[in-house]
Amino acid sequence: MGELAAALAHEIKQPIAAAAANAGACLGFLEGERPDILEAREAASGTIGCARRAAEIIDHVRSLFKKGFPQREPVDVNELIREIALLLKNDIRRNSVTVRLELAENLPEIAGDRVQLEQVLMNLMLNAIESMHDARGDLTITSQSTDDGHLSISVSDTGVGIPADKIDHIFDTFFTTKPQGTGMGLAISRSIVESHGGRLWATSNSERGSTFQFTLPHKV
Amino acid sequence: MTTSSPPIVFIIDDEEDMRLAMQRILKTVNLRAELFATAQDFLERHIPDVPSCLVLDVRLPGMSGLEVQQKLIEAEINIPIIFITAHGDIPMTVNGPIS
Repeated sequence: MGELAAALAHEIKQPIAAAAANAGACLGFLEGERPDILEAREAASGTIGCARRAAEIIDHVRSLFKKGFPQREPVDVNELIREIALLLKNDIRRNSVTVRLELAENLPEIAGDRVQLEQVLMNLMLNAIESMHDARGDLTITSQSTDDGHLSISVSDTGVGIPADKIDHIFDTFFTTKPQGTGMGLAISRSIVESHGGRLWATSNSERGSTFQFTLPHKV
Repeated sequence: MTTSSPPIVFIIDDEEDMRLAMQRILKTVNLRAELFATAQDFLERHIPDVPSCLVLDVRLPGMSGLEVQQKLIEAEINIPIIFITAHGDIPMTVNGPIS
């Protein structure tokens, strides 16, 4: 959850910084030789707007973490993907990554634990973004319904890829290729997907980067 | 360069709240700001021959701030740049000012 926390911190920091800047401007308009009340009022409204947005983000996060034990509730996977992409906006921008969502329409809902599945998507997308560090890569996320009653979700990057001799170990607990990795992300992700009756695996792309794919059975 | 024309501060930031807040702060010291959501928008703008500077977020979607700087140098557009970032690192600190 450390990565999630970092992403949330960024997301919340932005409106707070803007609120502080607005409040600073408000003071500036009031302090001059001839205070400009109208401008100060505008800046104060701006401060309120930004503070409200920060509060909305926090409310949203609280709603995500309300439930502590595994749930089985109807989950719209496309909505989840869009949400995580939005949450990772700052990481995406920082690494100059271009995101493409190729999501099938009318995807059936699945029965699952929303928070856990968010964690899986967050892990896979963050790994993909990190693998394209400052390389202006493409992150493509697809969703589709398969003939055998599963959803299939793929997260594909144009990053550094996985060395052939490591690909069998990347899901092992404590195995990591990142200097600051814990070796937990993919292990946890796989166990979450499997607890939902699905499978998670990785392949190397023919050109560049790698693709992580997982399946989840439909709600019957 | 005619010094009688009012100076302009160009701001490129993809967050609207931040653009507007920076514009307000500049207004408190009577500076006019022109706002751009993307580097592309700014590069398409004809830069008038008045005293100006550019406030640039190092990390921007599509084109990074350092790339914008490179493009300006290539186009021989000589405008002082103030970089802002929440995520500075050493290569960035070295490359930015030297260019």
